[in-house]
Amino acid sequence: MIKNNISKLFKVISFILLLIIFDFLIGLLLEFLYFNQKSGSLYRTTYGIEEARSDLIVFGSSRANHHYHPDTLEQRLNISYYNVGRDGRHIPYSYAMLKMVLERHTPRIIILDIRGSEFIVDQDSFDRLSSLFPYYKNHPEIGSIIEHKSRFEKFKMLSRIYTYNSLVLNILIGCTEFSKYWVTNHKGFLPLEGTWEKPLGFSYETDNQNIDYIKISIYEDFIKDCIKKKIKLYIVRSPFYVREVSRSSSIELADSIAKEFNVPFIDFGQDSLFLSSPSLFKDILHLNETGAGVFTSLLVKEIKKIEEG
Amino acid sequence: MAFNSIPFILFFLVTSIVFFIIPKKAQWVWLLFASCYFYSFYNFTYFIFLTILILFNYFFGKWIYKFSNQRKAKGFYIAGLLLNIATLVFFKYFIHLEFINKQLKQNNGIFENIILPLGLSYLVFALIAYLIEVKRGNITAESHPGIFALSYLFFPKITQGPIEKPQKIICQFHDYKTFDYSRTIYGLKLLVWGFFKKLVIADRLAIYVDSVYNNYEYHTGSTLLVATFFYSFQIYADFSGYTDVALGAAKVLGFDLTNNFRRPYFARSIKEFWNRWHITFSIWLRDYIFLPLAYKLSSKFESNKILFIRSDRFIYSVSILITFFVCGVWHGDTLNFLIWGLLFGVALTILNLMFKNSRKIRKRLNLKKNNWILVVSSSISTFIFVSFAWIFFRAVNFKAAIEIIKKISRLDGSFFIGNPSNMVYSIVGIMVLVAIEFYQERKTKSDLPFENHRWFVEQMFYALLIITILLIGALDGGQFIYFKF
Repeated sequence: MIKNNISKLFKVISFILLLIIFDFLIGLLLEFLYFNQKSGSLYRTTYGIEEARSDLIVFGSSRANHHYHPDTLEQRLNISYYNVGRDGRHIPYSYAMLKMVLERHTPRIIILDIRGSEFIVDQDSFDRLSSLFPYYKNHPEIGSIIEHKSRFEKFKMLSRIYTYNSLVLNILIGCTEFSKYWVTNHKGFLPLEGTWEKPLGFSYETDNQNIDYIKISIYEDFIKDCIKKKIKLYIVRSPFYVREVSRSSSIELADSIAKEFNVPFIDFGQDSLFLSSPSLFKDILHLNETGAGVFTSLLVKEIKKIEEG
Repeated sequence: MAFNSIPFILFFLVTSIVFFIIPKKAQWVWLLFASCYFYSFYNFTYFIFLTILILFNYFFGKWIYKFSNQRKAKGFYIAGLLLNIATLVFFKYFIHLEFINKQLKQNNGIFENIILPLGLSYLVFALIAYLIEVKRGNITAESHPGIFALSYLFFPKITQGPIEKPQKIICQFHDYKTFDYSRTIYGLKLLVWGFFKKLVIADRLAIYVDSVYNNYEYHTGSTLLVATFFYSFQIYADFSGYTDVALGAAKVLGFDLTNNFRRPYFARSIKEFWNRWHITFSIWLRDYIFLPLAYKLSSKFESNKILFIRSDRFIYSVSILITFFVCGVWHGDTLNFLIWGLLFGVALTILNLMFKNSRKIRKRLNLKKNNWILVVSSSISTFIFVSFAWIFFRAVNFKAAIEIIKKISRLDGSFFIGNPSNMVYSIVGIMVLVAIEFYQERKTKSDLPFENHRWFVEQMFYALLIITILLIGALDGGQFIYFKF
């Protein structure tokens, strides 16, 4: 009987050990591969956090990623540029990125691209913080932001594999040079090809947003951290191909908070030039490369105007 | 507290440990307390409401049994059934009627926040089954109110079933349970397999399916076709994943629940599909709607033919159509669900009418019943029909379903891949599911995904399942589809 029980206990312990060993070894391998990628979005994120020493850094979602033309900004403002924007990532992600970047380097200028629905209640904005889990070990400063995803995240991250959840394929591709052939990456800027051919859309549901005040507080912290580090911050809403009946609550709030902190808020959301030029867009939310060039030129003009006072 | 969450895992761990170390007489009290906590975690008011409903049924059951040979019993029986049906109708349909909604909102908004209590549809069906079985004399009424409440509030099955028959479930709560190593390991293996189905397959597929079905206007026929097939696997992995977790959790505690699924996509006919899909619900419909209805009709019609159709076939057709009407309406009050249910009803009616002819054709072609071409082609055609019906189930409304079918029939335009790695994970997930189910279907016939006499090989398999969940599972706590019913 006792022998039988010991054998059962041995089986349970060895299964748990097997899991721990698997988790450790696979996690170690993934960590090695993750930080040795040569291309792709994960590589760009790592580069932005650990290596970029540019004077100007762009933060935001895919719209940040595709809208800010590096050559125009570098030449006209005479500064170096890097773009850490990423598809489907919102203000919690941008703030976590800012915290990690500021640990190592203080840029002169930061552009934060804001969306019309930036502050709406949407758990997805926090769930997507999982793409920053690989950095948590070396950047505990993002712990407080990650906790907004769930209070159990820190415990879940005790598993080395969980840290790289859903990233295996991206890591494997990133370790090759494949993505260099299908994505043009210029200092984090990803130009889009193609034009939008459908008629101008209308948005009627802008003033009825359910606002997430955690996101508002994160946005305020973003501004405060920039001010503390004496960084020139420009908060920008880049163009999109939808006519708004009225400005969204998110944009109204973003604008008023920026004013409170004396930070310039530049709104191209309803710029007539873009609303009348579908050829500048890839889709209703994203400019194509030509559109990005036109928009960046206009933005530089605005920045210069502000700098000249 | 969703099954696919850390709080549930902690809750289950504590519940199980305490369950086996406390005195045996107190086991049911502890389990009842844990089940109450589990439900209250979701909504305390509804927990109180459900408890009252269960207690009402407890007394109705007692009275039906007590006055079983008197007319009073019928009165209590009808009152009990009406109470259950009225509760379900009120929460599921009445407050969603547009004109009622307007009226209620004007009433100081008291009713504005009323939603369907989680698990109510399952609970009401289980309680109806209890009253019917007591009335039929198949069981005696439960005398212990605590055990009775526990057998309906039992946390693994309260939210999504299975809809157990009272004769199978109630007696299990009278027994004392002792810790059993093999049973616990079996239960834990089922739990892991359930989590794998839910997190690696269902929630992964949901990303693509939701992005396509929620924006169907912008997608082409080919994309919608793929999303439809993906949805077939998503809903199966989601619901059967939940069931495996429920069965596994109950098993660890020493209780046997009925598996709701037996590899339904290997069914060779629609009839067989319903014998393998949501089994406890199908049995409920068969025993409490179809058979009583068919029996009643057959006693009414004595002639050989009704409307030029053989009377037995006519009775079958009417009964099956009504049964699947109830099946559709149980899922929801929109036209979509009604059409979804009736599609199965009509298909079963037609197949029943053609049964002899199809057998003749098979004989003429000299095809045996187990001919592999026949088996594969009938399984595929059943799967295609079921997938077609899922369009009505998944589409946001009837208009959307029709638009989706029109687009699929044209099958034009480019194909939307979405996130390439998500697409790869989804396809791999489906392939793993089909391969394991094929292995189960042909070899083991077990609920477990893998069995091997070598301990190490088996442990490696389950370790790999857990690693895969951590590696590619969609771990952001997606809701179970059948929660909303």
